Amino acid sequence: MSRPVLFDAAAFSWDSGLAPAVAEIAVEIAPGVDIVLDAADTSTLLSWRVLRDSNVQAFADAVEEQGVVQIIETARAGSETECDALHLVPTWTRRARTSAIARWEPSPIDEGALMLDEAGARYRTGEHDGAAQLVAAASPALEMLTEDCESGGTCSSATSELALLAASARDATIGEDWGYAIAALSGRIDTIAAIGTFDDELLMRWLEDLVEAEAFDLVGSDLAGGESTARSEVERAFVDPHLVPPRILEWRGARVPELRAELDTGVRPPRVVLTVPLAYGVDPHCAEASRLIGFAADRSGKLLATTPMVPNGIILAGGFSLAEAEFETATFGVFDSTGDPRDLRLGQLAPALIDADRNMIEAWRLGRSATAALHTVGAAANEETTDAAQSVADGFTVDALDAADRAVAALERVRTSVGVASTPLLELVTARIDAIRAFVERIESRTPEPAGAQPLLAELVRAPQFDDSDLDVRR
Amino acid sequence: MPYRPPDSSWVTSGWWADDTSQTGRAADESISRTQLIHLWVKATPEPKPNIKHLAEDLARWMSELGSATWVVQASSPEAARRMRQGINQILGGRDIWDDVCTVTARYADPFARCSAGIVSEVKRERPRDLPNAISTVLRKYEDGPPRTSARNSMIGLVECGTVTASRAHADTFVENPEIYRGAIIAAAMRAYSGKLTEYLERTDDHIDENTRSALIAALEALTERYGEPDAADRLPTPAESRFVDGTLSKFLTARAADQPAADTPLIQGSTLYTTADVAGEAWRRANRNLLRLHINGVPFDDELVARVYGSNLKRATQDLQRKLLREDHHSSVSDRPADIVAVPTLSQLRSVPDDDVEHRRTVLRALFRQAWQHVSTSEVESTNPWGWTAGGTSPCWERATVLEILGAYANLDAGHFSELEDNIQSGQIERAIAHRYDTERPADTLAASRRASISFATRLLCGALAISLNDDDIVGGDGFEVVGQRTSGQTWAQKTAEVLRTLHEYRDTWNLLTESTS
Repeated sequence: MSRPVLFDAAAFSWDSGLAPAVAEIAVEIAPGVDIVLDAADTSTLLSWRVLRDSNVQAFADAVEEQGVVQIIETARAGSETECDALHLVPTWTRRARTSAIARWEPSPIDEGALMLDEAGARYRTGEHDGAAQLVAAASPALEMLTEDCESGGTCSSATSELALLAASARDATIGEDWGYAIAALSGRIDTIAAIGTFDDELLMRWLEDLVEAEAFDLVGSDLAGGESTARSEVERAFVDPHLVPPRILEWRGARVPELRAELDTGVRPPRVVLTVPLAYGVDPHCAEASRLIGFAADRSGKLLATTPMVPNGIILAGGFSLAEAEFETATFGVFDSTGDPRDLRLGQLAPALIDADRNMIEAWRLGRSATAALHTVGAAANEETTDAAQSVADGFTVDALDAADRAVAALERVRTSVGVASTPLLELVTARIDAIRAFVERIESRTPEPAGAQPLLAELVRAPQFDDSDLDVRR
Repeated sequence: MPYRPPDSSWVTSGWWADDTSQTGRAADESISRTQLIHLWVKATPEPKPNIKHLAEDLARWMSELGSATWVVQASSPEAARRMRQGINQILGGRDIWDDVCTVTARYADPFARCSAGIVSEVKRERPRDLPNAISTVLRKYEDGPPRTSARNSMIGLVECGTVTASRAHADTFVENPEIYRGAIIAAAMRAYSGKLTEYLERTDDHIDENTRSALIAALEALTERYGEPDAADRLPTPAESRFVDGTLSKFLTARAADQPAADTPLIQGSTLYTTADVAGEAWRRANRNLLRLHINGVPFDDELVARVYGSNLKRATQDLQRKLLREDHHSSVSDRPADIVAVPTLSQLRSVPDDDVEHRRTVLRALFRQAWQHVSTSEVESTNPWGWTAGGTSPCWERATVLEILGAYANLDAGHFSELEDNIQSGQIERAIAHRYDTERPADTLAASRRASISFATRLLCGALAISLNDDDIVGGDGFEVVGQRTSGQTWAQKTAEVLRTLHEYRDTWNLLTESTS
């Protein structure tokens, strides 16, 4: 799919014209070299942009295809030139994957393990200082993971990934005055990794955890159905994942609304109380939670009111005055105050677009869970475990395809909506549907993941279980 | 609330064995210490600490007590042995286990409740405003080091009870643990702040300013209330700082003699950082590294100082160069989402033709005026979910401040827009509000803390601007795009958001359709 390389006084750029199946992630290869990929395929570039004075060689080294330097030189000489879709080398594919999961994974994960994943990915792409910084930030997590590993809490695939990451961490911090502490942890993990455990029992438990972690969707759907008994003074709404930082708010699947808006008619003027639960284990006073703004908009897309969301126990709450008539037709949401408010999707068509995004995030994570289940069960596992993993993976795959179907259905609703006289929107929606169909086809044909896209450590270990029942949440 | 010791009447002879009243079979009384603890933490009455912590601490205290002579005398040598040794050995002998349980109920259980209960206290001192990922990894330090320190202080410090020194000491503690509680909590907190200090030192060069200041604020508060962070990870004494300062100065003076001292830009054509900045940064980092080595008792020689300084100079140079390149790069990428809503608007004022500027100024004034209108009618004093009272005043400090800022912009003379540009830059609004808070030290705030107040006011302002920016009556209209086109670099979601905004003119049609179908 050859497309022209565009250039202006500042930069060279290329755009595939494709939409992402799930959502975009941006990766900086070097200062001035930025690429965009789809979270669902972290090897194929959707677009790229190279500043004139930046390191073109670094870009050429990051992709599999030959001839990138010549293409840019041709463009620099002022000639028209074209470029095919480029693909990242495995180390950069890995790095893009860590970015994708950091940005778009909606459910609680081991954030420390993810930082170590990213540190390892940076180290292997030559960014040694960046890696050392992340190791510093993640060092308590490395201690914790080492202890888990020593107490037999991690299965062998996680242990070997951890051993690799710890070795990178050690190498990245060799010059730091605290590097010896990381080296010691790496040594301890190597000892465990060398023992090589038969971990069928662990694997079964891990698979059960994985299924349990996904089961919220079913439970959630039932709950959502149960809400029909609610009074008309309560509205539910979905959070737009593009507007909020990841894993701060609760996520119980694409079809369970997180927001609750309740109209208090007992006061004059009537007041809306907007609430949204924080994700399990998130500190109500963390930086991200203190950046959220709640809003109400009318059906036409006009913002009616906004409110800072403040912690009240393990939920965030906000409030504003709203007329009763406005409440009945209003839509509600939250956004990050450091984002651009022009990115709010409002109006009649917005819910379907948000629905499609949510379902694709779900399809993506179910697809990854299927891969992780199979990846974890190596050749050493017994037949029972292997069968269990296969059946778990099959279940996830079916669910992933269902979610993708729901996303397409939502986009079809937009496409056929009465009164939409917008060619740009139709083009965007069509491109997105095409991307999702390609995603579905990759799953159905069992296309193997590109090198570097195997599951991260953060996907192979459980999210830490924090007991905060003793915490006075009103502090 | 007066202290009430945990009820231990449930500890009856052979309580751990299966209930045989139904089956009629002989009870199996054999058990190991590990199994006993497992059953114990479940059986011991609420309220109790997290049972994992309780189990770990109970094991430590049983070992500790099993080694004390007075415990051997008070129970039996075999009971004491079982408390400290062969913890996985499954052994019979109801009488002996009964003895173990008596000592455990009387001493180990209350000791463990105290040391494991520390964790709840530490959680309350968690640094606030950290990014979630950092906040999550730091939780590792909430239960380990503080519990260890609590136990050690209860054993070793008189003011914490020296609980294993004699039976009399142990009894005094058990009968009135509240006397010692403050000192034990303080010891645990110093262990926690020690780990936080170590974390801050490791990450100091790398983390962003907000995270760094959040950690420092937490450390200052902890130090003020509970004393200096623990010795292993403590901050340097003034004497140590002076020694290292002197060593480094001497080294650098000798080095300067054979080097030119000219101050040159770090990157050609940029005056942001010079070689003097690098030297300053390298000094700061080398100083910190040497201090850590000095505190840990590493002897200094010329070669060590040269090596430490050399590696820090190299890193400082690289980091500042990288920072320069990044800043350069960012300022040239115009489609990057800005931190605060008004930035792209205002920075674009520079690059538009003169006649457009006047138009934009009009639009901007309208935008700020409308935002002012929103805030002035938002009764946040009565609609906030906490029922904050703002000392009874309305508008509260947060709203008054935001109104003042927006009002100033809405009424700005045409000539003052450069000033405006200077004042509103990426992230500056929050800093400006923080500055105002610190100068005014207001009493009539809605929020309970400084941080919450600043964050609330910032979001009040951002929220009001969001309403105005999304209002096509202001920025739409004749197709005039106050915020500029953002075509390249937009995500699919951003593109759809933009299309939806251009569709707002179809509002009336939609409303008609909706009304006719419903």
